[in-house]
Amino acid sequence: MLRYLTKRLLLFIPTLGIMSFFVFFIAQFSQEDLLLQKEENDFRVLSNNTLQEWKTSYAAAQKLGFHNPSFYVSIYRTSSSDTLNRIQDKQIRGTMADLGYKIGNWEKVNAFYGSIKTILPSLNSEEQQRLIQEFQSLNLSKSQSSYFSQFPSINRQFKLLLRNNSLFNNFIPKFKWNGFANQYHLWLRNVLRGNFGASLVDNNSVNEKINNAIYWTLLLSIVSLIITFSIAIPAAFYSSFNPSSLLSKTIDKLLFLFYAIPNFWVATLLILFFASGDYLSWFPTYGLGFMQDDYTAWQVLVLRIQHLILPIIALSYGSIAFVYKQLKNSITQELHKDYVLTARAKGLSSSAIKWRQLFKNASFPLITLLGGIIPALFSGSFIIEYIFSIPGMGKLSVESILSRDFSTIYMLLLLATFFSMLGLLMADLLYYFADPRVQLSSKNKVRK
Amino acid sequence: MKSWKKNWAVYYFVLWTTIALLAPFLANEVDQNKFAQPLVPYSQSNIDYENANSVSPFEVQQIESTYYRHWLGTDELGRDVLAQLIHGSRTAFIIGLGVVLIAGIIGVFLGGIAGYFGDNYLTIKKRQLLAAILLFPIYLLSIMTIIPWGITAVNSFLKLILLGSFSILYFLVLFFIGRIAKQSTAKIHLPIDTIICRVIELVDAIPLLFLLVCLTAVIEPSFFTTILIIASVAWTSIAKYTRGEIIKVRNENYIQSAKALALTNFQILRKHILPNAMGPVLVSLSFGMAAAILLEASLSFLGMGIASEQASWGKLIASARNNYQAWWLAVFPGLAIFITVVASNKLSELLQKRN
Repeated sequence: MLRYLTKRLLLFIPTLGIMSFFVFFIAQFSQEDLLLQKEENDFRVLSNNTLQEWKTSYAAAQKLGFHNPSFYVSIYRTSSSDTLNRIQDKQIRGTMADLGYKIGNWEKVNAFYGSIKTILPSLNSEEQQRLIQEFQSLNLSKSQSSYFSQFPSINRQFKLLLRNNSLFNNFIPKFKWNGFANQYHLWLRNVLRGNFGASLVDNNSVNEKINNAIYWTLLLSIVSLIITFSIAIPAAFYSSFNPSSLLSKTIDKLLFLFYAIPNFWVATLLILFFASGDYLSWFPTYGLGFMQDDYTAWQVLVLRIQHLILPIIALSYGSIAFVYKQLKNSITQELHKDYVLTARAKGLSSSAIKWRQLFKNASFPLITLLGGIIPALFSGSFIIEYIFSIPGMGKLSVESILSRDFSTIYMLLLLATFFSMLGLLMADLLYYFADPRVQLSSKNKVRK
Repeated sequence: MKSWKKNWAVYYFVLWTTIALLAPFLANEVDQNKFAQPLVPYSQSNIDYENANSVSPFEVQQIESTYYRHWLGTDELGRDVLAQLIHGSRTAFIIGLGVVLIAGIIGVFLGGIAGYFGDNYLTIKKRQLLAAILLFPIYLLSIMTIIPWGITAVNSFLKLILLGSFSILYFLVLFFIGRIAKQSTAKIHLPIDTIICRVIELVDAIPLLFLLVCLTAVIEPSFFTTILIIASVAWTSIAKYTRGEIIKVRNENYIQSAKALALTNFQILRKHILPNAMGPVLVSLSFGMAAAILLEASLSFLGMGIASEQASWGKLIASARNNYQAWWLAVFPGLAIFITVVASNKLSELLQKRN
């Protein structure tokens, strides 16, 4: 048992490692400029002076460590460079990469860029803008060459660009070992120390953000879990013991339909008809309500219930239908087994058979469900929290993704992975306790 | 066959497909030069300024004749809801079918391999393993450097095709090395089942919507990329299902006899296992269709779906959130999603019964 547990827990490490790797590289490929995100909030000096802007943005990049190479090893084309990420202007970076690909010679491209950078300070701001624009839309055409001919030093480099192109360089890989001063290493080190960094959007600490959000998500999911089980389990028992009664047929039909209703639709309709004020205004439309200092505990409770009742309905109806369906299938299968007959023959009461024998054997789908619920407890429901604007994990995720706040996204994704693996492990252990015939082996396969 | 004719889901699917395929003819601008006029005289992006600001279906509308009536009302900009519903069904159809195709191919392939070979039956020759290990750096290098990542001048579709062809080339080379090597060379068991199950576990470990939304943040959403993104998470359930089914079929006697007859693995898979496991797999594909449509609607609802021009049911529901008075913006597209998903589930139940 202990050996099994350690094995499973050790398996967490590579999985989390792969996940961290995955998210990190998604961020690297992100078309949105990470730095721009940050700058727009605190660094950017709005001015026409492009050169000044580049300087401030490079300083900002240094502060965040974005000037470092992204990984331990860089592999790149000979016609390109691994220091491209030091150019903070996204468009210029794109131009440089394209140019390297077209010309095939990085030194020439770099020299050309260098000549532009040395000329820039001596120009007034309008001419600077023009030159930068020409460079950004560089297409090596005749009209451009006539423009560049007014700057002799640039013109010389421009002429060089057009000569002796070695496109073969595009296919020759180059390696470089970057050591430990790379973005991935620095980030990982911080995470292992428990420092999740600051949000790229509002500079708040990510730890704090997650701490605040998890409370609401846990509250919502636990209440909805309790409601789900307390409705679905009795209903499943009732309808599998009385399959021909009218009530169980109605439940069957109703829950089959429930299962297919998209929850964001239900949430929108609930707000539309019960909260918006155009039809009925029994409940507030969104948020958690404003709490005054002199509220008694009872008033707080009423306020919370008022605000949370619609989201909880929207969260629960689907899982009620799901649990009901699974449990009913499994009970119907168990119902015809011999041990039930034996128990009846022994004269056990019907409720004893139900709860002591059947339930235990039929609870496998519930365990699978519990395993799936653990991660959902923590990551919350994206859409429901977004619609009702409840400041939980789901809303935090949507917001940080929409604003490309990668330092928060990293942590949310790692947490989600961790909890879903924990859920799988818990489910396996529960299977073992529910049915000792189940063998624990670390080679446990994916269940349907 | 009788149950098929009786079931409304089948008829609904025929109707849905027809509407989706004929959407540009059913709802489009009126063109006097054409021989026939569309059923709904508005296209999905046609703005009727006279009836802007969400006109209800029952309200008095500023129209020339009943032909121009907005039967299901208009949205905030004055676009016809019915026209958007019709074009949204096209979106749902393309996404659903595309996801089922791609996720089906990946899922059935990987699940099939995992289920059929298990951990002990896929053997590779030692030379093949050696070649795989030696060639892997070359493969990695070529996909990292020869494919022009980060070059905006090169079409991203071309990059994907290059990536695919390099991967296929890699496996082809390994395959032929296996062919060339002598029969008597040492063989190694490849625990393919464990490997694939771990990958499935890994993909399933991330909350579905989270992964989707993350990917849409990085990749420009279009029809093709949305299909790819949804398929990249939807394949796991199909793979799990296929794996389970094939494990059931694998131990049947007729497979053992086929093996005794020295049929090749490929022959057994194609002629004996896949036809027998296909029924249940079709069920999971049908469920996958419903899931894909729901996911697309959710993504569009969150504002991360396909490009802004194309109408989508999810987008329409989202637009109801700007104006809660306009119930018709939420009710009709929601009903469309709901009926499609129920029909899809019904169809898979039907398939299940046939097996």
